[in-house]
Amino acid sequence: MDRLTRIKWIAAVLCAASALWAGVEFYEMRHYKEPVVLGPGVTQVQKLSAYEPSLAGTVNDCNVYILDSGRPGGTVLLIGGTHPEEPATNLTAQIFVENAKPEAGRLIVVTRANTSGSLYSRNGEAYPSFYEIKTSWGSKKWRLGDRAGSPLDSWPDPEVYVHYPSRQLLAYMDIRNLNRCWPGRPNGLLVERTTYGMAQMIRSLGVDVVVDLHEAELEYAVENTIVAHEKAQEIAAMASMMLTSTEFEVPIGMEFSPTALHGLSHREVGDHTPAMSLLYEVAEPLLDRIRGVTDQKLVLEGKDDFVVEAGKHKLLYAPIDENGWHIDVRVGRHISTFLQCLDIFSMMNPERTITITGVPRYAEVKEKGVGAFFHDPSKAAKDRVEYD
Amino acid sequence: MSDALMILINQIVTYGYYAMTLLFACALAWNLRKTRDPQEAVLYAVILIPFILRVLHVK
Repeated sequence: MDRLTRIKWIAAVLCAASALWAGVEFYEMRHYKEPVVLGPGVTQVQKLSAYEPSLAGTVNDCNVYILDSGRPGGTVLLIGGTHPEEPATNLTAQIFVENAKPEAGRLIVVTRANTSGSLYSRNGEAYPSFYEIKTSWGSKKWRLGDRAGSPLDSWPDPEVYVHYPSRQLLAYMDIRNLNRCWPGRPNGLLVERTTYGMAQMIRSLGVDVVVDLHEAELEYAVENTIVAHEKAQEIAAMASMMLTSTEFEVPIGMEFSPTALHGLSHREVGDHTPAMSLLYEVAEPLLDRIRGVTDQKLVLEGKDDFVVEAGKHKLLYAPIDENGWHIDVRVGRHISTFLQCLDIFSMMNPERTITITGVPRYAEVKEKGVGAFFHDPSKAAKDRVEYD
Repeated sequence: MSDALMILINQIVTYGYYAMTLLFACALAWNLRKTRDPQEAVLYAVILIPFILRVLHVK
């Protein structure tokens, strides 16, 4: 074998090994199923395709968990996983599925709203594929995905995304971003059909309140806040005051949903369905451009020296110190904010009261850690475990 | 334009894209075999990686 042939073989073998190594990791992420133990409050699990049939057989035919108290009251929809690289959102939603007990009204939970985006990681950002949280029975694993759906599931993107029905022009990849595709349409691309399915579900189940959970980089101005549609402004304002004065060390604000910015849940759900819509944001240093090493530790502990340094120079919209923004803090804030908004909604609409028990509030999550609120799927009855 | 036609065009573009990716992957493999330049050979091998992963619907 001459020198050139040897070089060719070595290059081909090394690159094939690299492709195999990367391919196995990508394949594992795309096919990993997250177990969800159905808590005592879950009365039914539906598929989103029940509301938009074209989703059947696609990765975005996500589970819809229904927790019905069987008593009169209102209905609330909690959406996690809109942006899969914001883990506090799907973790919060799953804590409700595994622990919540509605005493009045009905709770509907989606933990992986844009499943497609949770099946791959962001190109060029070196995100970890998974993160694991310690529990009393072992370690539990979730996928850390990307912000938008995967091009493997929705392709090609348009040159410019023309939002339906506003016709506002948005960036091409936002046609895979679930929080730019509301209220959706039945003949659109995958993510538009996903939001359409959820909007149909909101209409047909008579949902009163929709809450969309998010996390944001500290460099972003919309941070640690509740963004509210006109219909929900009073609830958001009161919740923000109550939480800031009684529970949170770092205040939570309240912002009005801009009327001219389209595709977002806090605008379109309120405009196109009978429900009132709210969106919560909490700080997540993983998303900051200036962060350092992007690993599981950063996902969970939210500590980064570069972000802290930026904070010292007053370049951020949220405070950060050496304690970072731990996942327990982020999830705890989302849970308390949700429960507080429900309390206020129920106070203002006594005939539509929604009462939920069984879930911890901020202080308890901080004290025990989020791992304390996930149950062992191997110990649960088989018909009480679902997979996202 | 009807929805069914739009969906059909979208599917044709998608299949065309994968056919094009396979074509480029084959062309790169062919060039890897034929080149007389060792540096080019390494380059072709590296460039092949994303094409292979995309054809296999892995990434």
